[in-house]
Amino acid sequence: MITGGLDLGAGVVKGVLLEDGRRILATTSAPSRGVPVQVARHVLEELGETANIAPSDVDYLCTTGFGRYTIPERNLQVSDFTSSARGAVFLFPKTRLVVDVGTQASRTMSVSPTGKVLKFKMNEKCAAGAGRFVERCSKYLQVPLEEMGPKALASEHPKLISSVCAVLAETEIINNVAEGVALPDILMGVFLSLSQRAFSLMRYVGIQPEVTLVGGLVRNVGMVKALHDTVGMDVNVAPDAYYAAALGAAILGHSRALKLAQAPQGIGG
Amino acid sequence: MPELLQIRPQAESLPEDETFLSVDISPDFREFTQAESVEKLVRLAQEILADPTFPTARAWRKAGGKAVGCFPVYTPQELVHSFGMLPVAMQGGGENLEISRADAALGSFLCSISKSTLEMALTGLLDPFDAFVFPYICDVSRNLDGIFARVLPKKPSHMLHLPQNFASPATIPFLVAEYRSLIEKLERVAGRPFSQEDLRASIAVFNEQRALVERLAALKRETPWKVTLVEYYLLLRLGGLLPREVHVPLLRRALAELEGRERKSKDAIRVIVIGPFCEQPTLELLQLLEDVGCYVVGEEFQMLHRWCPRIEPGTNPLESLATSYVRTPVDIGVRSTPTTKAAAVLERVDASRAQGVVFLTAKFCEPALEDVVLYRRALEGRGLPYLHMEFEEKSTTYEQARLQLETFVESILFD
Repeated sequence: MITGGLDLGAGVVKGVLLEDGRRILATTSAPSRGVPVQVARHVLEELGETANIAPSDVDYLCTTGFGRYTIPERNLQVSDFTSSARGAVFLFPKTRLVVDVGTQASRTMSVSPTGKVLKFKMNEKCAAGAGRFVERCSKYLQVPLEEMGPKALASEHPKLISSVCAVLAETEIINNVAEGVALPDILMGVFLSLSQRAFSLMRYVGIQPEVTLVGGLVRNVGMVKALHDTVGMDVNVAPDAYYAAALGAAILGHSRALKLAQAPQGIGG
Repeated sequence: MPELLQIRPQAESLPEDETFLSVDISPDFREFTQAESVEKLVRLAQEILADPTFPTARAWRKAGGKAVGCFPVYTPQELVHSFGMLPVAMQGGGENLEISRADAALGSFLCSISKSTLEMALTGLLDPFDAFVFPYICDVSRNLDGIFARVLPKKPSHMLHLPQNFASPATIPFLVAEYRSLIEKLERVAGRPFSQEDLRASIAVFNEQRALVERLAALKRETPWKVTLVEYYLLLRLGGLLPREVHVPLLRRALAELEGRERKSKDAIRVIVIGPFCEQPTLELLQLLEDVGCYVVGEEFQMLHRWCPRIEPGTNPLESLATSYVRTPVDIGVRSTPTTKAAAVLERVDASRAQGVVFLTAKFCEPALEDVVLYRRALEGRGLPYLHMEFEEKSTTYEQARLQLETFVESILFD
C-alpha cells in the first residue's frame, strides 16, 4: 500500500511517499511562494516521478501544516503536532520529546513510544521564536540561509539577544553590527535566542531524552549546536527529519487506510 | 406602573403553558415568544449579541421599566426582579466593539471584559441601565465598581461583597447583610420598598428558569449531538438578557424541539470546558470546538442561572437566597475552595463521562488561571488529557486555536 504525506507549511511544501507504512519511497520539497496548493500538486508529481508511480497508485493521501485543508483530493488532514510526532518516532523510536522550529511557529511535544502526542505547546503570535526570524536575520546580515549555520559554528563569544520581540531583536542585531561584534557571534546569538524560546516550550511539556529536532531548521548546524547547548543533552537529527511532518502524515494515512480496508465498506466508504 | 412590570406568577411553579404572560408585552419581546423554531431563536440571539446597545434593556425601558446591569458572575437576580426591574447580564462588548477610550484608562494586562465594559460606559452604550451591580469576584470587578461611580455618577453602582469562608456560621448572616446593603440602593432606584412576598414570587420564576436550564444541560450532557454548542450557549445567554417570563416559555418550547430531534451522533470526543465563567468566548470559537470533533458535555457558561438547582423560599426568602449561594455545589474559579478543587474537577469529569478537559480561560483572568494549576495536577494524577487555551473577546483568527484543538482531539482518537 502506498500512502502520501503532504506538509503544506507557511514557507515550504514538503512531501513523502511511503510504502506499507515502513519504507520511504520518495521525499521532496519546494518553497510555497504564496501558492501552496499549486506547489503541493507539483510536489506530488515530483514524488511520483522519483518513485516511478502514477498519482492514481497513491492509495491514501494525508495532509498536514497550515494548508492542510486546501487540498481537495486529500483523504484526511491532521495537525502539525500529530504528524511531526509520528514522523519523529518513526525516525528515532526512542524519541520522547519533539522540537519543531517551523517558519511561522515553534512547537514542542512529549510523545508516547507509539508517537502519540501526550502534551504539547507552541509559541503564540511571536515571530521571535520561529524560523521567519532566521530568514529576516539572513536578509539583514546578508548571509545566505544555508551559510548561517556553518558560519555560526566559528563563534567564540556568542552575542545573546535579550529582546523577546522579533522587531526589537533585529534592532539589537543592528546595534551589534554597529558595535563591531563578529559575525559568527551574532549568528550564534540568533540561534541561541531561538533555542531558548524553544527551551521554555520544552520545559512546559517536560524535558526527557531522547530529544528529536524536526522541521525546517534541522539542516542548520548552528541551530542544532545551539539547541544541544541549551538543552544540555544530545539532540537527534537526521536529514529526513526535515520531512518529519509529511512523513508522519503518510504514516497516519497508512494506519487509517488499513483500518478502513478492514472495514466492510473499504477505503472511502 | 406599566403593565409590563406587573408580570407575576401566582404560584410557586409556573404553569406549563404561556397563559401567565397575559399582559401585553413589548412587541420587541413578542418576536421571541412567537419564534417558531430553535433556528429562529438562534438568529434572534445572534442579532442581540451583535448589537452592543443592549436591545432587550432598551425594549424594557421603552415599556416603562427599569433595568439593572449585572456584571458576572453572581448577582442575586431575584432581588432585582422582586423590585419589578429587569436584571440584565453585562458580559462584555463582544467581538464587534472597538475599544478606544478604555485602553487609555486601563492597563494592557487586564482582561478584555473589563475594557469593553468600561468602553460601553464611556460611550453611552449603557444608557439603558438605571443601576449596576459588580460582585467582588476579582480585583478587576471590584475596581470597575469604583470607576463606574466616577464615570456614571448619576447611576448607582453597587459592589456586592461575596463570602469566601463557606464554613463559618457568620457566612450567611454576612451575605444577608450584603444583600440588605444592595436592597437599600435598589429601593431608591425602583422607588418602592422591598417586599418578602415579591421576592418569594421572583424566586419561583427563577426556580422555573433554573430547572429548564438544567434540563437543557442534561440534554447536552447525555445526547450532545441533539443540540449544537452554539445553540446551547445562545439559549442560555438569552436567559440573562430577556425578561425571565419571556425566557421560560421560550426555553420550554426549545427543549421540546431539541429533545425530539433525530440526529446521528458523530465520532467525537467528550470534553468538559472549564474557565469561561465570566468573559465570553466568541461564537466562532465555540463552533470550532465542535468542528474539530469535541462534544462539550460539561462547561461553565452562563453561571448566573446555575448556582443551585432550586431555592426553597421558606419563611425568610432573603436568608434562603443567601443560603443558596453559600451552599451551592458549584465550584468555579471565583470561589475560594482550594482544598476541594481537585476532587471537584474529577467529579465533574466522572459525572459527564468526559474523555478530556479543555481549559478555556480568558487572557489575564486570574481566578481562572489560578485554578488551572490545581486542576491540572488532579488530571495528571488520573492520567486524563487536557488542553489549555486562552481567548479574548476580539479574536479574528482561529488557526492556532484550531491547530491546538485538532491535536488534542487527535491525541485521544489515534492510538
